[in-house]
Amino acid sequence: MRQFLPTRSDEPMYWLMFGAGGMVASIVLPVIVLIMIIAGITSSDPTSCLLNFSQVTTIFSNWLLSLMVFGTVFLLTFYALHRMHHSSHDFGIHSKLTWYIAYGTAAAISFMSLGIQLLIYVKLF
Amino acid sequence: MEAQKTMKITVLRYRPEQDKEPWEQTFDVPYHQETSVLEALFYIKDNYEPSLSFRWSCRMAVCGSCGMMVNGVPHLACKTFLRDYEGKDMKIEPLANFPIERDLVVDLSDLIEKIERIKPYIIPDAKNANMPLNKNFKQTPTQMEAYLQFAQCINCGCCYAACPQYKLNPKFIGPAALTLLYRYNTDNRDAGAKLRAPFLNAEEGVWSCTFVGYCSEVCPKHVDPSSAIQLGKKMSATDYVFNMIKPEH
Repeated sequence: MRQFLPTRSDEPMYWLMFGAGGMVASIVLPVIVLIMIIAGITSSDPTSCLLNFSQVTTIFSNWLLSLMVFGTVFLLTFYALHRMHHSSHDFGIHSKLTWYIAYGTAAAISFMSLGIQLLIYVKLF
Repeated sequence: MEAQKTMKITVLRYRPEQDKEPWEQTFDVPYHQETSVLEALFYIKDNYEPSLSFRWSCRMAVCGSCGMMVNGVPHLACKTFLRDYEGKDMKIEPLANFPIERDLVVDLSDLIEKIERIKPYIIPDAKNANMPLNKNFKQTPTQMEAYLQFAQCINCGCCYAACPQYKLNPKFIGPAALTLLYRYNTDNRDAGAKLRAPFLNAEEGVWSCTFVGYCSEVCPKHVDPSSAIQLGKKMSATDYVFNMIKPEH
């Protein structure tokens, strides 16, 4: 008798990205928040900030840094929405719809971030 | 001598030949410092209800027969003591997420079938298959440590009663069977990982687990199934990536 064997799940792909997002959330995110606090909001007068808007755009015009920011945004949104997708299952919503909503939103936010960075890039060069 | 204490114990009863659905029956059970839930059930059987059915065998947390819900939490009746519930009432129910056969006896055939499915035994390498009996497999203490904790499972079913994913989807292979799968895959004497891979990599394998971790909390043998499943996810993810680079089929 031939035993019925289950098919391979595609979940590892999402799980690996979820894991990478977790690493980013715990290592990169605090640094970004810290830099933003120190550099951006230390003064009520925007001209006396450590970093002003044009300086920030100059930093993000570096393609390598831009790529890193995109990676960070992508993995972080993916990380958060992957967890929400699985939590919705725990709460009794078993529709495939949550898959589309979660990963669709993560993709939309990532593309938005990519778009903003491209705008900065195009404006400066 | 200290005065005898009593506890109100409610037991879920179900006799398939006369009951349409399970019902509750309450008993006053005297107890002392060493009375276990299993002994309380013996007392009920001896003094009030000879027809009360429950599984038990070793009375010392080795056989895994007496898993049941005590105040809604999966426990081994022999390893749970009335003194820890002092001042409270106790409710004993059959293990959750399994069909009830009679009173506190549940039908564990799904669990047994799943454990069988993942081949929970050492499958030696072809070259070792006909090893003479006077020769031994070598295993270092480090190699043994990799799986030893996961080998302590007694198949009591408490983790399945605790698992919300098994409740939502009974196809999920579940904590105990996946832990055993990981246990044999990590054993250096074993070469059966390929045969077990389809069950590890499936949606109803490790990927149905959302790491709630309640199985590890209730496990009476401290096996930590959720840890084995997360390690199993690592194993499956590695296999997934290698399969992407060099497909086997």
